[in-house]
Amino acid sequence: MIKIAKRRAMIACFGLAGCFSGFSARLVYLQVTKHEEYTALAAQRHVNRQTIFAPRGTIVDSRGEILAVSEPLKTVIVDGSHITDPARVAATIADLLEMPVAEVQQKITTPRRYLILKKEVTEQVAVEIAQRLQKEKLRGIYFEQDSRRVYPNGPMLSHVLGFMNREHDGVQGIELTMNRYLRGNDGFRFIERDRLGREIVPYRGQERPARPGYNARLTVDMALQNIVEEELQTAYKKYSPELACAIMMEPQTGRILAMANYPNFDPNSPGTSEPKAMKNCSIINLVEPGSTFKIVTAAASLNDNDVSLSTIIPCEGGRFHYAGKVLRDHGHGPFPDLSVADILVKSSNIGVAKLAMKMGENRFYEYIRGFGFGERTGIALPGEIPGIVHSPYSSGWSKISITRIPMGQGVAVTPLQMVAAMSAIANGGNLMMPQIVDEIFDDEGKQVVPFAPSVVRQVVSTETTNKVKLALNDVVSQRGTAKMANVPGFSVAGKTGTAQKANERGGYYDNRYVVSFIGFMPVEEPKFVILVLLDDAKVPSNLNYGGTLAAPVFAKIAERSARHLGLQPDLETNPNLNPGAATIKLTQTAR
Amino acid sequence: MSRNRRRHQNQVPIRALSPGLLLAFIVLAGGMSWVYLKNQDVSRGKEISALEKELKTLRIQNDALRSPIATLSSRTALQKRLNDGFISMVPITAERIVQVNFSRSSGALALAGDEIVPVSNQGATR
Repeated sequence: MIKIAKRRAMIACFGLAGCFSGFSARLVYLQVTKHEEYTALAAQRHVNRQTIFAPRGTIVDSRGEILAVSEPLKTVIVDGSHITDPARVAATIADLLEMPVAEVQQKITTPRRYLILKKEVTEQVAVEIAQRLQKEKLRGIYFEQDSRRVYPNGPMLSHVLGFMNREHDGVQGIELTMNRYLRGNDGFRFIERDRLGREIVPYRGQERPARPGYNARLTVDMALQNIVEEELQTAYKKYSPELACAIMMEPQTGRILAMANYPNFDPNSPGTSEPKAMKNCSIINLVEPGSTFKIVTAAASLNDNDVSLSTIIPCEGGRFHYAGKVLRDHGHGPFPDLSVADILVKSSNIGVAKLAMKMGENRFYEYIRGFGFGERTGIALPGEIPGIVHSPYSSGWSKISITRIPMGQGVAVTPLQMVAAMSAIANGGNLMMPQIVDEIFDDEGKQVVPFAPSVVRQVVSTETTNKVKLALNDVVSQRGTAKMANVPGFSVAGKTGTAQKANERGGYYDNRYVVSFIGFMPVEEPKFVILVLLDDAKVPSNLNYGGTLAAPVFAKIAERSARHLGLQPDLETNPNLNPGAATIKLTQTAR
Repeated sequence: MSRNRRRHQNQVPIRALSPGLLLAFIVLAGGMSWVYLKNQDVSRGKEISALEKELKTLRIQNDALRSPIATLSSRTALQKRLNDGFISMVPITAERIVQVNFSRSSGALALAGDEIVPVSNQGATR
């Protein structure tokens, strides 16, 4: 009897042991052999990667005025599986979303777990929606972080600032070129959630904080930009040119103080603008510079000591026969024999042609390239073109090129290249790289990337520039072509340009002109160089000159800018005084 | 068996049990502490999470306000308000302007004779 009991006990023990061994084996199999597989499965269900959004940096002007800022917005998301009463949910939120109740109800009646209900909802509306849903104890509506770029000044400086696409990347302007600094880096965090979807903070995994986008400070002064835009807009409305542009640069450093183009666009809604209006003509448009290019010819000739300011050049009575063609002095011509200074003052085509011929094709070409034509200036704006300057070495010049290029025909330049070249004359001969970004800095104001002024090369000597300045100062006198560029109380130097508009089919239009004026002031220590260019102004031909259309715009911009910068007049405010008489110091060194 | 002898035999062997009791107590205290600390951990985690959320909301609300502030105080908006007559500007009269020369080389204000001269606008009226 005892034996049977013992046996039964033994069988029960072995049975239980076997049973537990089986369980143990299964446990080992699940915990050891299948460990990785099930860990991954668990992580997939409970651990998720939470993105920490990095806000985009702001763009400010040289005085800290905000030019572009990001506004946080929300995207409203629907999880259809959480919505039990679509009619109630729709009635609760439809008015806040500014959508019809029926439309909202139709959209949220879905089995889908992720559906975008509405984009670009403001933070205030999102908070209100969340509060209403909480009050009504409704679920199924969630929010995702989004943002929108806001340009507080609207169309002002639009070509420089650019705009962004829906993926929050810069498409044009500073937004594009500085995108890598402005964008910042999103961070992430691996988190675990409980059954109710709440984060279990102690189980946080790997984490990388977001690096907010850096901010960009431009060299542009919005006060000056405002002046330039106002005056240019007035001219644009008055003369209805195809396009108008104005650039203001600090000649000593190459800092762009203002840059405006018309037509322009509103970067807050770029989709509503014409593609033509979105082009930054200052760096993208090719123009034949016309007479403003004579500055290059004269400076080159004086720098090579081929001539002095007082050297007399025969101007052939206004008709110069060369290589079977006739070159004429338009406008104020025909001229008698002129000094080199007067060639600039009177803007003689024949005079500059003879200066270039004296110099020779190759030497003249080297100076053109030296002044930066035919190469990109290197400004931190996208899409800049190098212009077209043919080389005499590769038979790019015809026989008459040496008579046409000196007066600004047969070369194509950008307005910015002209400003850079004129700045070299204004600052004593250094070609400066135009600078539009001053610095990149973080939220604490600490500089991250500096942008310093950069000298490209010394093109001509200071002595040469002093001579050119003298002549250009006379251009705005009563006997010059740009007396309307005169600014009371200040010495001004500049040059007018009136170029026939090139026809795409070859040749030139008869009555269509690109008129411009480029100048600087004060003459001795210039604070700014300004170019004003009007392409195909709708005015009678007898008024369509740089001296009559562009020069007055220059004068208004220069006068208001001088007041803003607090410049002290360097001339006696006497309307009868010839502005040319003011440059006594220059005269002493140059003549 | 005498009463005293029986008492002696039924006595709980405290000395023998004490290591076990101590161990049980330590394990119990350790376990309770662990549960307590774990609870604290989770509670603090929730607090951290709530504070982080609050901070994030404040930051976002702050950023959301920056944009309209920048727009309303922008040059264009102010110019528009000026043109509409909503705001006006008082012209600066000549007697209220003081011109000082700034010496670039020294980085200081260079006045006549390099001395500091107090400047006042006696004739200025508000």
